[in-house]
Amino acid sequence: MSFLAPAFRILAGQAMLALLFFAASGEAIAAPKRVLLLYSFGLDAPPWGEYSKQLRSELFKKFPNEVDLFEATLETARFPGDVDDGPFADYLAALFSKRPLDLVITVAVPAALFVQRQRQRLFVNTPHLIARSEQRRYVRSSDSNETAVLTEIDFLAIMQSILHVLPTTEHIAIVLGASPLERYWKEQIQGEVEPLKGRVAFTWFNDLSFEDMLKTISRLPPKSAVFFATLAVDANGVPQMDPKVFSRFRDASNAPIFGYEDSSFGSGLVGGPMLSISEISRNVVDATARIVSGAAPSGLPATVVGLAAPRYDWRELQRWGIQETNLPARSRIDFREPSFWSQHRWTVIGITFAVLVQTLMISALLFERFRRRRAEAASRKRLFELAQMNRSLTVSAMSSSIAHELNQPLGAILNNAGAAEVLLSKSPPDIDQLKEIIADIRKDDERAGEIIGHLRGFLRTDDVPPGEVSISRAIEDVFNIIEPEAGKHGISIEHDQLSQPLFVRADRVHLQQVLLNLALNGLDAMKDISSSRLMVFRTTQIDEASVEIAVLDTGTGIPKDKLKEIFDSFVTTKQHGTGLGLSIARTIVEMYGGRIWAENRDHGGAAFRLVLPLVRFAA
Amino acid sequence: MTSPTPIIHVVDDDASFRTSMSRLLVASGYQTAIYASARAFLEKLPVHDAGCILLDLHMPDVNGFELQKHLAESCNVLPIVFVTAHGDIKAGVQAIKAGAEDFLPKPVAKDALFQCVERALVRNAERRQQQDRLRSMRALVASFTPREAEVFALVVRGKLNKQIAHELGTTVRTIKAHRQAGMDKLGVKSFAEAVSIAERLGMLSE
Repeated sequence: MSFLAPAFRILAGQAMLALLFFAASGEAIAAPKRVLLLYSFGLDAPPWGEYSKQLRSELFKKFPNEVDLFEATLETARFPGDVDDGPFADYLAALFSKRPLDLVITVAVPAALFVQRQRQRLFVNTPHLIARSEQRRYVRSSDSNETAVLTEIDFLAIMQSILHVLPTTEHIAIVLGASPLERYWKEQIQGEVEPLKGRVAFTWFNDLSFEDMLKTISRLPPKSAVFFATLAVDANGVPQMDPKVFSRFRDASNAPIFGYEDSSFGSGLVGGPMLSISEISRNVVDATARIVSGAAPSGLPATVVGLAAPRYDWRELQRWGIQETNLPARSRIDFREPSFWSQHRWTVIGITFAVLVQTLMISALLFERFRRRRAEAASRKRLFELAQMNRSLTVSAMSSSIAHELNQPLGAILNNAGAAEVLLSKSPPDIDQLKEIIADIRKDDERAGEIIGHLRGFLRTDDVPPGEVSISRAIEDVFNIIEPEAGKHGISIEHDQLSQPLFVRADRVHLQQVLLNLALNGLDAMKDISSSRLMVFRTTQIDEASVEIAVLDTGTGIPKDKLKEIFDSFVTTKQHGTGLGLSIARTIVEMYGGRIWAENRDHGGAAFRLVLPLVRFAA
Repeated sequence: MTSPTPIIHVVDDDASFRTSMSRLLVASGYQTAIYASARAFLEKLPVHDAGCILLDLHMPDVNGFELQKHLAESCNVLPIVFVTAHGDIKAGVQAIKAGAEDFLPKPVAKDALFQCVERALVRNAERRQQQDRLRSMRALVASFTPREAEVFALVVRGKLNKQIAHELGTTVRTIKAHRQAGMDKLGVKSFAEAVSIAERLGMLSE
């Protein structure tokens, strides 16, 4: 009693109910019920494979372990003309003569007719359940041991629904095979769609081979639709048992395909009102349950299952551009692909948010960078302005010395001119000496030009990119500028240089300015010194990559506590200093990757030293 | 006493300038000597005392003022004319106070230069003349006997004969005789003239 075992395990109240039920159907559960499912066409042929699957699963669900299920298929239905039932009947007789069947279920009309024919020989007392027979083909026998689950296919309704969905349709191709049954259905359908004559043209595939069908279906005129009725055998007599038949049509077709069997729904059928295999199966299984539990088939009226409410495949609607608003009322849309949004909503929100945050951050960073660039540019501009101002101040501080320096060549020129006048007034004039005089005048004029040139170069305001600057040249330039001032105060200046020229990468004027600021500091420090006044510029190569320029003076030196801070802005030890010279010098030196510092010399005076990176020349 | 050709000494560290200056002066009939530095001038300190110095102010080593000071300490009769590119009022005043003949800024106009040089040469002639006079007076004073010199020194300081006689331990008459002999040797008629000579020879400050 395997059936009771789980029942006793359930709660008391339910167990009582269960016991009452078992008592009522005590006989039915005594032994497994032997049921034969007899099909008309091959089990694999569409849509029968789907019926088999559904029926079996529904039966097993309803009668777990209680049904001994046999399946057989008549196969003969597709043959044209009369066929001999004998051998197949013998086969079944051999199977079931010793094992009486409790029920035989026939699927589709040919099998039902076979059973009706062989009733007396094979299934004398076996109840007969006719399943899936179109009511037009069903012939009710006088047999009281028989009942039916019939189907009713309203072809006109199907065609009308196609026109509803695709209102512009002018042509419908109807796929039908060449078997007698299929030819029967052609006439049935033709008769039924008579009212649509004039509205739409029909093409019938009964006389086409499978290949011709595919060819035709791929070249349908615009505004066509396909109605896939049934295809068991083509015009060449080739049975179309392959379950993939429908999908080949679907792939070849250039028009939407409709049908009445929902077995192909989901694999290319657009949809519409269709027979529901599961609904038919449920009805069959319900009838089976009643018969198995002892009800007489005669007491069970035949059930008719009509077309189910229209269903449509969303993917096909998309494929053929069918508006959902064109679908009949109360249609169901299946296989709707979840939209990207509903499928990835949180991912999308998350990514969008992340991208947004990142964009904001990047924007903020870019903005910051822009601001910093601008600030840097402004600060650089200020530095250049300040440096320029410092140069102007330096020059104006020395302008008297420099202007006076100009008087040297001017004085010489005037003297020479005077001498020439005197010489010319004599006769004969001393031509050789006059030549000398003119040469000297030219020389002095050039010298005057140079003095002005040094200054003009130094006062340049344009910003040129740094180049390679010779240190000794820069120092010479500075000497040219400070010589008058040094001379005025009786200060000697010396340049202690290396034999080979050294180059640093800088703006020449900037380097000059640094050296000039240091030189002027040195001169200032020595103005009031009575002992020796000597300023030395000493260049020393520290290593392969750097050079030190030292500016040494014999002046008053730097107060010890100010050695570091003299490089800060507005720190000065002079009475009239701006406190910017050394600050600018340091800024410039650091801008070119160098450093600068000050110290006091052992025997008095200060030493300013700066180290700059050397330009490397390819060997 | 002969009147020697004056020499214009040009002291300037600027070669171009000193050459041109010399050239101008020579062309105009002067005799010149050029020096690249104050030290070079001092080394060749000219015995020839007719002329003047055209002196640059700013020179390395020894500058114009220092040379001027140095010359003032010796018996210099060469007037100094500063010719400088760095002339300012302060330097000019300092130079004139220290006895410079003139202070010319470079560049110098030819006429101004010649005027200045001429004035300096006149001054030089005066100084030389004066120096000659002093030299001859000093020779006269040197011809005094020791006693005459003693008496003369006291007389010009305004001492009375009586006081001198008492101081030197002799008689008024002897003093009068020495006094007359000295006046005769100096060739002066009046006592005032004798005091003037003594003053010029610097005997009063001794």
